[in-house]
Amino acid sequence: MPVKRREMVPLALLWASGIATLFILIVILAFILANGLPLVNWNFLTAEPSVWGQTGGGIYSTIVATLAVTGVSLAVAGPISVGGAIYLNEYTKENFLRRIIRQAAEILAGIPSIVVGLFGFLFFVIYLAPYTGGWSVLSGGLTLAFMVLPISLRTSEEALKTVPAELREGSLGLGATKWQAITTVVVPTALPGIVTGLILGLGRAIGETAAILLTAGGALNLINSLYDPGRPMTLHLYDVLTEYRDTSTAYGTAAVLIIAILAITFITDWLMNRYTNKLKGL
Amino acid sequence: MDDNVEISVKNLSLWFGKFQALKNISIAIPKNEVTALIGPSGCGKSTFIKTLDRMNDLVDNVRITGEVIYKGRNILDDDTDVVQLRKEIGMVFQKPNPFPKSIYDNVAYGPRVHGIKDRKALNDIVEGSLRKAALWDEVSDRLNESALRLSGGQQQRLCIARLLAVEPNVLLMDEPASALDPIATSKIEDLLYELKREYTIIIVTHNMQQAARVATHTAFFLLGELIEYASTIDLFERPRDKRTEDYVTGKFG
Amino acid sequence: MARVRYVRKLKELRQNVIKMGNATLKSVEEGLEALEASDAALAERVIKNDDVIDKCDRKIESQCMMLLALEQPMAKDLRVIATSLKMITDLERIGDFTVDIAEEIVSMGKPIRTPVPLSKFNELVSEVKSMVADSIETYAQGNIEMARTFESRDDKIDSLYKEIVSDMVGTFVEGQCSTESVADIASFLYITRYLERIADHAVNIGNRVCYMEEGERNYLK
Repeated sequence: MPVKRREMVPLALLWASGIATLFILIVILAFILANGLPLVNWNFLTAEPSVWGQTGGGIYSTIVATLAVTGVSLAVAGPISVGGAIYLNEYTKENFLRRIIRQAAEILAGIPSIVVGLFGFLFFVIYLAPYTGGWSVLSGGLTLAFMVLPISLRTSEEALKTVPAELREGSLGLGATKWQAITTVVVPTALPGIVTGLILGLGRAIGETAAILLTAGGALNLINSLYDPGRPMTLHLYDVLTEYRDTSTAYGTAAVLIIAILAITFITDWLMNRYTNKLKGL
Repeated sequence: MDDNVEISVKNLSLWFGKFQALKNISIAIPKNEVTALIGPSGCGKSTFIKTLDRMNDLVDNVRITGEVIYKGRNILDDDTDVVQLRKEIGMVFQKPNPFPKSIYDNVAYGPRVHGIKDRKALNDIVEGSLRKAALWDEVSDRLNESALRLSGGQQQRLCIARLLAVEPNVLLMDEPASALDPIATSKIEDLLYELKREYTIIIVTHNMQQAARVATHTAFFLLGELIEYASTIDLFERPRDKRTEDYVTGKFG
Repeated sequence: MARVRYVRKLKELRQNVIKMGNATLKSVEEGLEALEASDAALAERVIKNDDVIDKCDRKIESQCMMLLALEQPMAKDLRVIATSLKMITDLERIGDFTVDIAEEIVSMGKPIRTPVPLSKFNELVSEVKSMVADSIETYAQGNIEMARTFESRDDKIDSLYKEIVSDMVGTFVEGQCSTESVADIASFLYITRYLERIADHAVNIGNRVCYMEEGERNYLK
């Protein structure tokens, strides 16, 4: 169908904004990767960072620290958010309390990360020091959990909401208990959405800097346990750049971060597509 | 109670909040027959059958009075084992609602939630149920395919097979053929005719010809009231109530 | 009121059946007038007019089939159509018997001469005429009170018929009649028989109207 003339202008504007979004993404990715990738090699990934006061070195201990804080935050926020979403969607009625909880999650998601970091510092690092080891990847991970929680809670809730009521009725109608209906029909059907929520939270956790700055410590040493202070990649990037003006290590770390996030996104996307298609029988 | 009566409903009233959806319904559902419920949208017929397997429990703000006697007990009592009740009184819905699982897993779903794990026993149940639902010949070579790949009519028969797998006594069907084409519809109707030998069937339908074809008894609901309940031929050939006459001749409103 | 077109078609059907009934009634009246006056020309017209009745029969039948196939009639509508469909056969048969009577009139070509008085026969003629008229009236008005009188009126017609036949047979036995009048008497007996059959069909119509109005088929004995 030919486009009418008066529709041409808005159409062109929309088209341009779409292109611009893509263009900005490509520019950032290309810039970081072009500057960072040449530095990334096996040695960079597996060597320890340089000691205090020197530039260069690898990022091995920071990768481990990132995995640790992210793992802690997911291990804490994942079950709580999925469980909370199931509770809210399946066991409570749409009422005042539920709206309050949803609003609270929204506000929590909107709190500036440095403020969350401050809370993490006061609560986990200072107040709970005997249990968290003070500055530690555990404190950092727990603080990050606060940021992951609202994201995956809301996404999981939305995913559960899209499961048709007929499937629940079908299951209950066959004499399944509510719990059986949830575990055998509702959650498996909503799983792609739930996983997407967790991945979004994971991305947030990997990329977070400010909250980590105040809670994880920042020690360059390889951590031995969750009670040790550590320096995740984002913090390392910030540090080498601000303290030593070591732009090449920064670019290299940034490239690894970006590749990691891209890889996680694409792999889960692919897995979830396969899962969804299997459900749909394609 | 009369041996030929499966479910006896006495003075059943139901409110959603302040709205009274069912008004003092009394009806005896005959055993091993097809009973059709007809009436305009919103007349309470779907609400009525949902009461029979306590599906209205899922809705907020429901208040029910009266009795629904099944196997000598009032199933509306608080101490009714709802899970067991729903096993015996199963429901097929308007839109086919197969689970996003394989054909096999759909049919095996009910037996599995009731604790049957033995593979051989499950195989037998799945085959038997699919045969009873006249679907076995069409799917026997692709039991592991997703149920969502079946056509609408096949999906509906799968849902019936899924229900038969838990060995119910009563089948409640809420407009089971309204989303299907005429050929798929006639297959479902033929199936009902076969199934009534073993099961008591209550079917809600908007399609009066369907009611006339499949049911031995027909009940006409209007605005939450049971207006007339008679043998199907009497209801369609010589209704006693003017409102039934107006509805079945299509001169309603 | 829903289904406006359908309701109009049903009304049309009933009007057509009444029209066919009136055409049949006119045919019966003219046929009996021709009988009384030995009017062969009028009788010829009655024979020709039967085409009109036959045409009505075919038209109404196809109307009924259309309604049954396309509209899924129920309850009273269904009974109206079923009644109409069967009633037109009765009307068509009444028309045919009238034609048979007219043909007898034409073939005789002169007033009937019988050895017995015609008073009973005249009573039979007027009874049959009014039965046919009333049967169409019952359908048009759904008048089941009138329809219920038909059985007893038919009993009266049957006994008149039997009396006339036995009177005639008596004349044979007593050898009162000439060779010429035997042919006349045979024609006369045919006509009497046709009249009795016409009354039977009128009774059928009355019974069908009862079913149409009340839905009970218990008239079937």
